[in-house]
Amino acid sequence: MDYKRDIPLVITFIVGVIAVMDYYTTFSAVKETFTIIKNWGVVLQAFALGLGAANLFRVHGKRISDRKTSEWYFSAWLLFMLIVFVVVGLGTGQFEASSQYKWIYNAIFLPLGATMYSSLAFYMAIGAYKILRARNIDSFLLFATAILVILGNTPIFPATFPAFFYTREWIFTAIVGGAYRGIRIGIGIGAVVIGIKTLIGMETGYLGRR
Amino acid sequence: MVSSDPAIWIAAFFTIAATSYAFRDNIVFKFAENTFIGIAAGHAIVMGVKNIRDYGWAHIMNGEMIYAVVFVLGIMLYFRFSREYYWVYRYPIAFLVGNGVGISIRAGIHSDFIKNIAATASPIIAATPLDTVNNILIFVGCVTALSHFIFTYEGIHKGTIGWIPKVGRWMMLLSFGASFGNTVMTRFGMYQGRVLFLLRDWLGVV
Repeated sequence: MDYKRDIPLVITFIVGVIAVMDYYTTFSAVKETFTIIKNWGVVLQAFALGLGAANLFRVHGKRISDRKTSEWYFSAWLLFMLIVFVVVGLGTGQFEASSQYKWIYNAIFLPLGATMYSSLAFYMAIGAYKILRARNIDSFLLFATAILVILGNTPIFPATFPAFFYTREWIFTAIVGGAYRGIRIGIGIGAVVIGIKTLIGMETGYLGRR
Repeated sequence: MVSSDPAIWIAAFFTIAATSYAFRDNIVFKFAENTFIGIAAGHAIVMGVKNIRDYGWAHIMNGEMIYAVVFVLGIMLYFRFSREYYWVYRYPIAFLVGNGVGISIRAGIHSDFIKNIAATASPIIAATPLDTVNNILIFVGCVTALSHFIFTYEGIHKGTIGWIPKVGRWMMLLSFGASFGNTVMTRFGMYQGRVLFLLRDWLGVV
């Protein structure tokens, strides 16, 4: 047995099978084991975040030390903000409950997150202008429902013509509801097949190439 | 009346800075962007440490020494950076993948597969004619969309039954259009919230 490759595959199989068994059986031993696995998963994910942070320091640290690009100071600022937030969060011992942490969160993180996320509306609108053209039947169908839903979601149109609102509701009930069900069933089948292939060691991409 | 709260001013500055990219890439946006990445990473680390305390350390303090193993596994993750001992990193990753795959198989079977089949297999004749038409459309949409993804039997995409996956394709295009429209409007709705923040909370003009 190759301890570098086979043992990880055995770990994946055992952990995966316990996770599935937890759902389909009522054995207390399985339930208790899966509770431990779940908690370990949360802790390991937290350790993996540290891995991401270490990588961030590696990449931006190199950028700062090389000073090849004119924007190295943004990397320094990024790392500075990261350290500030970590120090404030951990230094108080209260994590996200401390008032200083909440202050930074509400003054910087929240508005930036909301604006970055919502600003994509502009790019989507530009993309819609470029792409939503009724060139053939396929693009016409895409265009038709997009326009009807946009009009149905814009307050002035349903307020003036309530039919816009009902059309939008009908599209989501009858059209989107049916097609997305088919897609979801396909996703379910795909997830199960890929899952089983991973558990039995047919998918080994996660072990890395080295 | 313009706000005198420094937190509101900072939030307003970052709101405008983040929006400025809509006009062109600029130094103010880059400043906001890097601030966001730094703080998001910091936030993730703080939450991660909290989870380690709540889901790992707290159990060890209660005498459940089996939780010491996960700390060893956690440290093993950092062998990712070693050329010689890279393989050590595979053990914790294998655990995470096994856990994730096991949970996704459960969810795939239950939420995606069984629930959607059960919902589609409900009686087609409803109380009103419109509901009956809707039920027929849902059934047709579901079955034809599913048929579009059958690749193991090529014949379904050709010949006399070739129209079935084609209808599925049309139903999906209609759905994607609707989802796109909905997403655009949701984002615009969110952006209205930011504009309202600037006008109401910061400038106090509305």
